[in-house]
Amino acid sequence: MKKHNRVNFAGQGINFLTRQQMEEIHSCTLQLLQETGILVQHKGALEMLEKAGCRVEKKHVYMPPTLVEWAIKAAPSRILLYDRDGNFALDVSGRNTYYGVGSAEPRIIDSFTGETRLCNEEDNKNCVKVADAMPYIDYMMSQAQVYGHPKTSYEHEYAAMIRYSSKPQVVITADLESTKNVVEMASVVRGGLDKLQQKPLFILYCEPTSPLNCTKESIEKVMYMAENGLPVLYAPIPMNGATGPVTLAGSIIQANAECLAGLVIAQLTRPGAPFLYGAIITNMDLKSLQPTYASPETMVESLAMSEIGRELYHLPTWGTAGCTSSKLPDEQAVLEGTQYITLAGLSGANIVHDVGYTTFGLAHSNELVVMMNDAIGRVRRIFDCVNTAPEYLAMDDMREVGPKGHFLGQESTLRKNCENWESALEDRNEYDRWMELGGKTMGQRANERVRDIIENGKLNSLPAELDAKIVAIIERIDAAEAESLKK
Amino acid sequence: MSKLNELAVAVESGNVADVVALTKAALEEGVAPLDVLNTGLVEPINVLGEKFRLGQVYVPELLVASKAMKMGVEVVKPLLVDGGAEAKGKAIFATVAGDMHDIGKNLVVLLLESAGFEVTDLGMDVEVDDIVDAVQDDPDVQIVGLSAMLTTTMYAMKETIEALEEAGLRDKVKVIIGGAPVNADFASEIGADGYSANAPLAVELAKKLLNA
Repeated sequence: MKKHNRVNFAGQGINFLTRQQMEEIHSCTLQLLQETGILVQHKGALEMLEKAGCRVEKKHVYMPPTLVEWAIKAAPSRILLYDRDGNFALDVSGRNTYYGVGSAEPRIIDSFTGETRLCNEEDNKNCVKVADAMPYIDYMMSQAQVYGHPKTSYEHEYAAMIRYSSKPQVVITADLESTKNVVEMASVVRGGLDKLQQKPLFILYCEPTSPLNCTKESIEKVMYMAENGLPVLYAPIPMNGATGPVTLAGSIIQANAECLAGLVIAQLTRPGAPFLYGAIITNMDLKSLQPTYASPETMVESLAMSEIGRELYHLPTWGTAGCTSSKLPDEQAVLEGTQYITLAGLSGANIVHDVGYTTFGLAHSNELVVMMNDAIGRVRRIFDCVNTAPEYLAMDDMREVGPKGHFLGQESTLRKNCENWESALEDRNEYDRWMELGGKTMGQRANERVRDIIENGKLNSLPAELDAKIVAIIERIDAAEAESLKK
Repeated sequence: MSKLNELAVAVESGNVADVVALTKAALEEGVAPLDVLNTGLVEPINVLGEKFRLGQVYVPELLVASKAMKMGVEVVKPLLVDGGAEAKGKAIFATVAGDMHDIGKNLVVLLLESAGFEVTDLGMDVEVDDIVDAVQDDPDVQIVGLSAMLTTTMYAMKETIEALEEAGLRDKVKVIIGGAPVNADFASEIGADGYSANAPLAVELAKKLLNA
């Protein structure tokens, strides 16, 4: 089966905003940062911002447009990520779209019992195992949040990623200390911090708290990564109507201000620090009072945000797809997840995360990961568009076959058929054959695939010597956690 | 690798360009014509047919390989005392009167030929009388395959079976049917000997009916 490797759309791509609209949003954002300002809960950052020309009143920072525009220009237009073995993996720039799992769900929909329950260490490992086996999942992200480790669950998630998958990563951490622990683990595998800086393995996920609040922990993490020249993202999640204005444009402006505040701090810390730009903007359902995560509005405003990043700011961008507010990997999940994956790919967001995320982020589904892997495969085939190289015009074939003939026995059919996409999950049999195979739904087949990987799949393990070092770090972290919980 | 092995590899990979030369080379190396036929040409098709049945290869791979095999057979045939191995069976196929859809029927014909059957393809929109005449004219035919794509044409299958009965030819042949609107129930209703939902199963059906 051919793997379709094209990561950007060969056609015209889609845009949700005109150039003029982007300029207007940019102007409003600068005005918001200058007039209304933003809270920064970090002493060092406040001193740095004041020195750079911001008006600072206690923790309230008013940023001059010139500083914001300087920071936009100072940041690099691309981030290059390498896999666990040091091979070049992702060119995070332009319209290249990479899909990954995520992120930090406290519960899992058990593939063997169907029950939704809290995640344990075994789930953590199995989620990585399943995602690693998926050819169209380009990178790992923290998935099952291990219950019972209130302080160190993120380190446990990271250890599973680096021990059982070679894919590059997007990583969530609790705070500065937990970030340092993750950097330590990645440095051990790379053979030193300098080697990690030369060949980054992961991007660190950080977020401000909407509206307009840069928390201490998030800024500590951004500054630490910038100081070390390691890539970081600062993605706000305003919910329209609750923590952001109800309108799409309003929440895009607010999210832009929040994200750019993080960018300014990163660039002041170290000019040229690699920074991934973007946001999840999702309307709150004002009946259930829950975030929607895959509503049409969410897709448009979140992807419009990454469009601004690419078109106006020339920054690598963050995106979301393959996720759902449904409680199960059901019809709603596949509808929302697939539509979002398709749109994210066509719009060209770079690091698209949250594949497999159900219940607006509260529960993980490995079945959804497996089904969305198929959806991404479809999208990658669509990216190829139409090849019009001479032999693809098939004029000789049509001449040879002529009216009333058929093309089944043509050599070109043999040679080119393998370029067509083939699903690992779809059923394309006629009815009787489908019945013979058990008459199963796609969801049932996805469940069988997950169980097969968990029960029979081979772990993509680190070499034993490195693995022992990671285990030792985790044991040290766990011991420190146990000690601090005693107090 | 001997020329015979090279030939088998060329046939299995659908290497139409080299088959004739490799067949001649194998004969020049002193391999008996019957061994060239069986080991160099027929066996790789059997291997591929089994892979196709298991869903490991696609139809065009099988068809192009068959094309290659046939080219080799043309070279070997004159050298065989009795004209080579006997066909597994002999069949006549047609898309029935009024129906201009033949891709499904073509697929069955191609797969049957790949499996070693000798098949006369009467084409599409074939009148009942023409089918009866074809059966009458060929004393060796064992199978009549009828295909229809439309609910409006499927009853021509019934007429064909009735016409074969009237002509006293019905017991001479096994009639098998296929096509989008028909099923096993319809087949038994009109007195056909078998129905197949797809091309690979049609080959199995033909083999079963002839104990081939």
